[in-house]
Formats: sequence, C-alpha cells, structure tokens
Amino acid sequence: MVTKKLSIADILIGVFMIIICIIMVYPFWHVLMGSFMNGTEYLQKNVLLWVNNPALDNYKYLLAETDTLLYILNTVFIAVFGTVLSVFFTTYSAYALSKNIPGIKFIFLLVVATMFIDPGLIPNYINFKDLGLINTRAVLIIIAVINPFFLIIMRSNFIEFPKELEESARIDGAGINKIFFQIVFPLSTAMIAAITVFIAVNYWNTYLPSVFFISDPDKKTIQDYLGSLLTQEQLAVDAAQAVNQPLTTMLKFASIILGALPILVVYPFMQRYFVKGALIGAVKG
Amino acid sequence: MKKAVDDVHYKKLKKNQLKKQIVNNRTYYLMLIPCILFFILIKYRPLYFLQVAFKDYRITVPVDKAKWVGLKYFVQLFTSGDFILALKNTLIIAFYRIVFGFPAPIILALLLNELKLIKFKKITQTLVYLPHFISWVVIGGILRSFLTTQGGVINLLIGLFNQEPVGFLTSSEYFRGILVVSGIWKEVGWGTILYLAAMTGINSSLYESATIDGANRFQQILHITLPGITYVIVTLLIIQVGSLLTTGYEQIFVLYNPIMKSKGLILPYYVYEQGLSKYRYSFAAAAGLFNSMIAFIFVFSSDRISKKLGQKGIF
Repeated sequence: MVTKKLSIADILIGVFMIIICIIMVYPFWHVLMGSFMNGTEYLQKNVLLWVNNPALDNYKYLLAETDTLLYILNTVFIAVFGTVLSVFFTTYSAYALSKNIPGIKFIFLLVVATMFIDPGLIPNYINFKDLGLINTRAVLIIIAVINPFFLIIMRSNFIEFPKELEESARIDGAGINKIFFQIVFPLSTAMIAAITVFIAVNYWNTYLPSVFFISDPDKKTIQDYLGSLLTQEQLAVDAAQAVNQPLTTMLKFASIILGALPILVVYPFMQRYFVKGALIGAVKG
Repeated sequence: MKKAVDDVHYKKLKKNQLKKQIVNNRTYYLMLIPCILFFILIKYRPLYFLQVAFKDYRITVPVDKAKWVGLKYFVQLFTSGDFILALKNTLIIAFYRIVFGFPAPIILALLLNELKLIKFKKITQTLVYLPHFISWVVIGGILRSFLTTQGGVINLLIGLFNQEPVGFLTSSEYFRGILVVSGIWKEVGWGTILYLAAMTGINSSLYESATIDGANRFQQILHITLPGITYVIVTLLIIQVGSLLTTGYEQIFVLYNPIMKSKGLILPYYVYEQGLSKYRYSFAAAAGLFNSMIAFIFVFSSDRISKKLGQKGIF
C-alpha cells in the first residue's frame, strides 16, 4: 500500500481547494450575516464574518411592509402543485413509454425532437394567449409540467424494471394502473426522489416564464419580484448615492436569502439526490 | 397467383395482429394521452404561430386573419443596427462562454481527483455544487452587492491595493467579463460531476505502474487521467456547443441593463424587448426565428462533428 503521507503538492492543492470553497460559500455567508444586521453594524464592518446582535428586523420589515410574502406564497403554490403534477405525469407517461407497443417509437421521437426545436418566445406567447393561459398561475405550472429530459430518464429507469415483478402481479390479476401505482412506482423511489428534487428546484426558481407570461403583479413569482427589485433600484442607488443605502442594502440581503431559502435549507439533506440525478441523467441521456 | 393470395392473406393477418396488440395494450395508450396532449399543445402548436414572422400581426386580430407580408420583417431586421449588434453580441458571448467556461470544470475535476483526504473531498464537492441550484436572480443580487462602488466587497479588495474603485455596474466594458466569471463561479462545481465519474473508472493499476516507472503526479495527470476522460470531454464539448444559444440567457436577463447595450444586448433579450415591451410581435418573431435557426445550426453541426469523431450522434 502506498503511504498516506501528504506531500507539498498535496498541501498546495489542499490550500487552493480551501480558497475555492471560501469563494463558493462566502457570498452566501456575507448576505446571510448582512441580512441579520442593523444599519450601524453594517456600516462599521467591511467583511461580514459574524453578526454581533442578530436581529430579524429586516425580515419582519420585508414580510410586513412589502408584498414579498404574496410572491413567496405564489411561488410555493406553483412549486407544490407543479411538483406533484409534474412527478405524476412524468412517471405515468414514462411508464407507458417504456413498453414495447406499436407506435411507441414514433411517440418517443415526438418527445425527443422537442429538445431540439425551439419555436421562440413570440410563438409561445401567442400560443398561450390563444389557450387563455396568459396571466394565469397555471401557465407557470404547465410550461414545465413534463420535461422531456426527465421523461427520458424515467423511461430508461422503467425499461430496466424487473419484468418478473410485473408479470407475477399480472398473473394475480392486477391491472396496468394497479401494477404502476402499487409496484413500479413504490419500487422506483430512489430515481423518483432524484427527479422530484430537480423539478421542485426548477419550479421554485421560475423566473423568465413569469417575466414573459404574467403581467398581473399579484401573480408573479418571488424570483420575478426579486429580479425587478434588485436590478431596477441598483442603477438609481449607484447613480444618486442614495442616503439610506445601508438600510436598502440589508433589506436586499434579506430578500436575497428569502429567494434562496428553501434550497439552502433542503440542500444539505438532499445533496446525494442532486448528484445522483445528474449522474444517471448523463449516463442514460 | 398463389403467392399473391398468400401475400394478401399475410397482410390481413398482420393487420389483425396489430389491431389485437393495440386493443390489448389500450391502457398504455390511454396513459399516454396527457403526455401527447401536452407535447402537441405546448411544444408543437407554437410552431404554427411562427407564421407571424411573415405576417403583419397585431395581438387584437387572430393570426389567420393577419396579412401576409413576405420577408418584410426580415429586411427590417438587417437594416436595423440593433439586430446586427444583438447578433454579434450573441455570438461573441457564446464564444467566450465556451473558451473560458468549458476548461474550468476540467481543471477543477483534475484537482479534486488529486485530493487524498476523502472527507475533505466530499465537503469540497458539496460546497462547489451548491451555486448550481440557486437561481440567477439571487446570484445576480449577490453579485450586484459585491460589485457596487458603495461598499461592495470586490471594490474594498481593490481598495486594499490602493486602487480606485471600479464602476463594474455603471460601464459596459466589464459586462462580458462579469458574465464569464460569474458563469464559471455558478457552474464550475456542477460541471465536474461527469469528469469525476469518468475518473473513478480509470484502472488504478495504470497509476501504480506509472509510479513504478517514476512518473510524477503531473505526468500521471497528463498521460493517464486526461486521456482517460477524453471521451467525456469531447462529448460534453459537443453538447455544450450545441446548446450554447438556447441555454444560459437567464443570466443575461438578470445582469443586463440599458447601460450594457453595446456589449450585452443579445438576441433573446432583443426579441423580448421588441415583442413583449414594444408590441412589435411580427418583427420580434422574425428575430426569434433567426435565433432559433442559428441555434439549430449549432446543434446540427456539433452533432455532425460528433459523428465524424466516432461518437454517438443525436439524430
């Protein structure tokens, strides 16, 4: 066995990696700490490593005095219903697509081709308008309800599902739907968990569809709201050297954290699913 | 004569068999109805509305009633300076993203692969994957607060070296640099996953014999690790070139503002601005169609190249 002693090269690589880690994490940490600060403390500090008197004032202000909560609730609604519908339709369709029945190749081609065909924004807009979906929360769910990529991954997964299990259930008199819901779905949870995580993250991060297809402010997503909050103001702030800049900066910090909160909270526990999904997707896709 | 009869008979039999197969599997077809409806209504139906690029379309009049105008809007596109600018910027930014963004995860993966402390490697991986899942809006917000001249961290760092603060957000000249660097920051970790997976597949006896032959670590990376992941590199390069024009413009929507126009106006933004803010639907649709065509050329040619190189294509 090779000795486990660390050489100088190892130490250099290690130090470099620690720097990389700091660069990856510090921005989030900076914003998180800043979001708990009051104006005076923020002004005294340049590098925000720790907060002396953590307070939730910025969050309280955002939730009580602005419409942030409305946009969070909108997005939670979209994310919850969207994820449930998307996971259902993706797995349900993928199961049928995994069967070798007449015409299935053509249907599958129809699905795959959409990954390379992009009608563009305006035709999509006219289509949604024609379907009466512009300015509805439904459009934000429907637009991503079946992702061809996840459909292909799930299909490959179901193709490899042990046929004997399905066969024995059929002999016991179970119908196709029963086989799917009671045997195939529960036994594919590892893969389903992986795509669920991705689908939920995508819905939470819904930004451009809200910009494009929702004009009613009450129905926009948190990302859309944050986008206009963080971009428009900055110009004015930089140009005019606004007087209450520390206050607005910390409110921005708090709103940034709210925009990423579900992901930051869930990420440490779900990390293996995140990676698993990516790997299987790449190998099979 | 007999053969012809047999043939007809055979065809009939085959047809009956097919019918029987379809009837037997009807549940599967029923299961597929929502999926097929989705793809037809949401993914294919918009293609019909591409015709507005060749029509005088107004949102108040149905598409079918609009007047055909031929290539009027395409002529307008090429006489409009902004379209040419957006086209140029789109291609330049795509080029930068590949040249600088593509090698970064390869280098990081090679370094990660050299880490011997498994625990440390795991933690590093967890941290570098994180930004991938955070939206561009949030990242854009953080980036702005770091780059501003009023107490932004980057400008404080620049101040430590006694340099004047840099107006990153108020001048267009830094825009592409900011795009490239922030893009790498967000995606570099996630980009390592496939390379790391390929590296674990390299036979460890290769390293052992190289060590015996006196090869140092750098030589081992150069002659064992890199060749071992070449096929992944080629595949990913092709996929990324193919998807250059269809992905990643959320970043630009978040970071763009009119000050950045000369360096940062790209086709997808131009389409949005002309179509949905200025209501020039037909004009914007023509610009969008142009963008889609270039995107398709990218996909198609990268697929051809991959086939030339003996890889599995997509078509």
